[in-house]
Amino acid sequence: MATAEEEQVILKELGRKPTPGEMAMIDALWSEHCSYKSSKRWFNLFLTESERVKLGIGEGAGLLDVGDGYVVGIGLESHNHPSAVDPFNGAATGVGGIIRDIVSQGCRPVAVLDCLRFGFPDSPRQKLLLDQVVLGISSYGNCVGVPNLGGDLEFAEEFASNPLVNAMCVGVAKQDKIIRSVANEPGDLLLLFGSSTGRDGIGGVTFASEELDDTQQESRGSVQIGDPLTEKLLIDAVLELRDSDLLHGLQDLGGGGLACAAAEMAEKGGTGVRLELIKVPLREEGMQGWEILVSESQERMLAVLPEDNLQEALRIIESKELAWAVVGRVTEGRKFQAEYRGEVVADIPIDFTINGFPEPVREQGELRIETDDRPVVETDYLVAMLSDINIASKRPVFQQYDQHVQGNTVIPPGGDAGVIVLPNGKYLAMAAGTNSYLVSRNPLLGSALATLQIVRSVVCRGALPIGMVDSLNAGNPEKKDSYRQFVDAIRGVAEVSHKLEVPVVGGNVSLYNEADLDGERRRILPSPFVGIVGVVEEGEPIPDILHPDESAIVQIGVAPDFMAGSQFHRMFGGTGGEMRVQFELEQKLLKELIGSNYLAATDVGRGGLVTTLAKWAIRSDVGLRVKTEDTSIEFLWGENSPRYLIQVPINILETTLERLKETNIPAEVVAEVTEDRIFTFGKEYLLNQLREIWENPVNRALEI
Amino acid sequence: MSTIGVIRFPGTNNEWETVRALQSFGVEAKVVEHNQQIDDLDGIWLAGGFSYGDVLRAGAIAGASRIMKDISRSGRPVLGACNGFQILTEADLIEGALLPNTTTRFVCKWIYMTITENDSYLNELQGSTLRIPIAHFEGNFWSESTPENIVAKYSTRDGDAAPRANPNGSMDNIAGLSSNDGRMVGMMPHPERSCFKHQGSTDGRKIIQAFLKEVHG
Repeated sequence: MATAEEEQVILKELGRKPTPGEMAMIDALWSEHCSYKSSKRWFNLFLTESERVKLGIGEGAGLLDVGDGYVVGIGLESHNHPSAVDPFNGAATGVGGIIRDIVSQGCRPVAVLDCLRFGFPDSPRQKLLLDQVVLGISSYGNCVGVPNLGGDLEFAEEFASNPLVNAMCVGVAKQDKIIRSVANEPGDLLLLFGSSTGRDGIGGVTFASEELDDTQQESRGSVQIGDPLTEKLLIDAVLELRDSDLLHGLQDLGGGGLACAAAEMAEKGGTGVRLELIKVPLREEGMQGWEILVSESQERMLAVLPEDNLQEALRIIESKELAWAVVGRVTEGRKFQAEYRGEVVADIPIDFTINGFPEPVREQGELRIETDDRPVVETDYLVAMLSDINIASKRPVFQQYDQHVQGNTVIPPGGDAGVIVLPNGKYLAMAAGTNSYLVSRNPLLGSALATLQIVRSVVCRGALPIGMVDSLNAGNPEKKDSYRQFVDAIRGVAEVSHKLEVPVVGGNVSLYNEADLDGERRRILPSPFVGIVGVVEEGEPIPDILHPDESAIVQIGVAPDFMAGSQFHRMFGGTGGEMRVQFELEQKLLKELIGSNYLAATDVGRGGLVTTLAKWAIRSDVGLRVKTEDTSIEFLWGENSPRYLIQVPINILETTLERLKETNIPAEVVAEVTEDRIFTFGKEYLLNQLREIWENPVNRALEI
Repeated sequence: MSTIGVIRFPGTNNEWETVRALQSFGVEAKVVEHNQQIDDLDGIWLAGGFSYGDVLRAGAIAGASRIMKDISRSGRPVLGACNGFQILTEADLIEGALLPNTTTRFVCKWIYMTITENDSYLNELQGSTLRIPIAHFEGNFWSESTPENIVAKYSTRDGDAAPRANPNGSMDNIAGLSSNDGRMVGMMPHPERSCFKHQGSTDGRKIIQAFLKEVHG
């Protein structure tokens, strides 16, 4: 809801009290979700341009050139609050919304990825949240026919009352067919099509921009309901409209509904709009004008087109049996005008609705970075690691998503990055996620390191990272320490974008992820999700599964000299030390892997070297014998340093090591492939036993 | 040249990958809407997806559609994959029903299936074990009586139709069946998703090859 200060500004600008329609519209447009009023001031920290960037931050998707006249569109959005209240519908519509963002730029959606956070699944409520969110994503994405290519899943107590559901979509278009979300030409028609409009989702973005509390069940009416069948027909319709070059502009109706879509397109085009709300096809009786204006009913699009193209556009839309209506026109004069049954619902300057908010003062507090030194617990680290829910296999979740629909999947989710083949024959690798625990220990360095982890996931497929989208999830920005966490997380991501030259082309901010529950204040771990895509320009992607032939596993790069933020330190203690980022070596390793043809590659991820090797052996069903000279905790279990593992055939091992040495890349053998299905690290573990240990935790979490 | 029609109901979503797979055999393949005529088609592919959003039951509404009656009367060879199989059982062109998986969850994974002795155009593949992906929520085949027209069973890599190779609780590990006359085949696995090297297996080509052989007569 508008603050007292905002209400003053509105009164002053209009010289009168705003109508209910104007107030509802401003509530939506000035919410954090739409206006980025606490975050926009920091976006200049990102690298936002490169030769490949065809469209950056500001519309539904960022567009990146992948050659041969094709672009890839990427977007990433949060749907946290709706998912907390109604996990099935909240998650389903999160997927639906981000797919429409991609489609509205004229891209065919080719992959989705999801970043999910829950409390530990040891209570019925947390298990239900996990189960229903996964079911919502699966039922929607599978039905629309977009394969799931990855994402991440992390559990921590801090997410118990504020689960996070963020969805990324990747699309493809011919560059000369892309559509912009803009209304340039006065006189053009505004054509609304897709589903009819109801009361679902009214006030959705405002709801998403406030703290949840014990009365959250009353917010059920603010959660949208998804209809994937209509979404599929909507996608088909948009792609046909695109191919026939009928549209001047297009935007998905998301947060703030018709008001937001029309105002944003007019603002970009320097025009105005006049809407006749009586024309909007409704599914409920007795709706007020302001309700029609800001309803967030799903599966709707607003197109801008010249009158001459209307007949042809309607032929396509009607062939999909979708509802439609010409709801207004683009005007000169930069005003947003809407009327309903002879009554003025809104008559307000467009620039004011988009940019007129008083930028709120936000203060950053000091963060105490704790160096946490505890005695090390002695145990069978490997078994303890694999059976921890945050290391455990996510296969029971990914298996519920269609990974192959559309027929382009080369490497399915479950490893480092998913890979699809593009229409021009090149390969696109993609990964999304962060490491919330790591970021919480040190938001600045932690977010840089967590972002680098996602970069490495793409790089170990031999792909050059060409762009990223971010979704910054944090607590209440009106609280100093929380705001500092948020800003530090942006700084960390921004630093990586510059140092590794991966431009940020889109994003989303989700604040107020904290809640009072049972009288206790709970704030999420700051979670700056990033989604990164990379291209394999020539040849094939590097496999993510080990080859069974005689070969060695070579570590390239270095182990960390700190344990802070690592899984080992979290579980077993020891000395934390200070986090450190090594951009120069990251860059050097990236160059080594891109375009290389190693037998297989992976990066040392969560749980460190031994855990990564064990997971690799299990996933590949190939035995490994670990033998390292360095047996320090940092070397065996440390993470978040620049290091990859590559598989090299024995006959070229010496020459490979020599070549790497000449290019000043630290390289050493850390394991060898064996013929039996056994993982040897000190003692022998049967792969089948380790697999059961590794897959059990998430399977158990899904048992209700 | 033969023309294969890939039928699209509202909610079908495997149509384009199927067209691409068929085209790689050098035949004409096109998407045919459910309200169009099928007279000019030599073969019919009922593609996967969620026809009519799978409301009521998977394939129920499409199964009762006019085009299914046309297809039945046409005498043309038919292959139904995934939702296409569900539609064929709902249209009573293939016996039995596809119930929700016993896991009560959607399952997407690679499976092996072995072609059994049968009276359909797939009989020439008898004994072959093929690696093909599945992706479905309702693939648990059930029939009141022992089915007579089994064409494929879920199996291990070595062709053993063991219970542990069964991904969805299907009766007798059944992955696919044919109509009584052997002209129509339905299966839960997706041959069109194992046609190209980049997809990780090309075993699906054998199924499509046999189907096209029947189309060419």
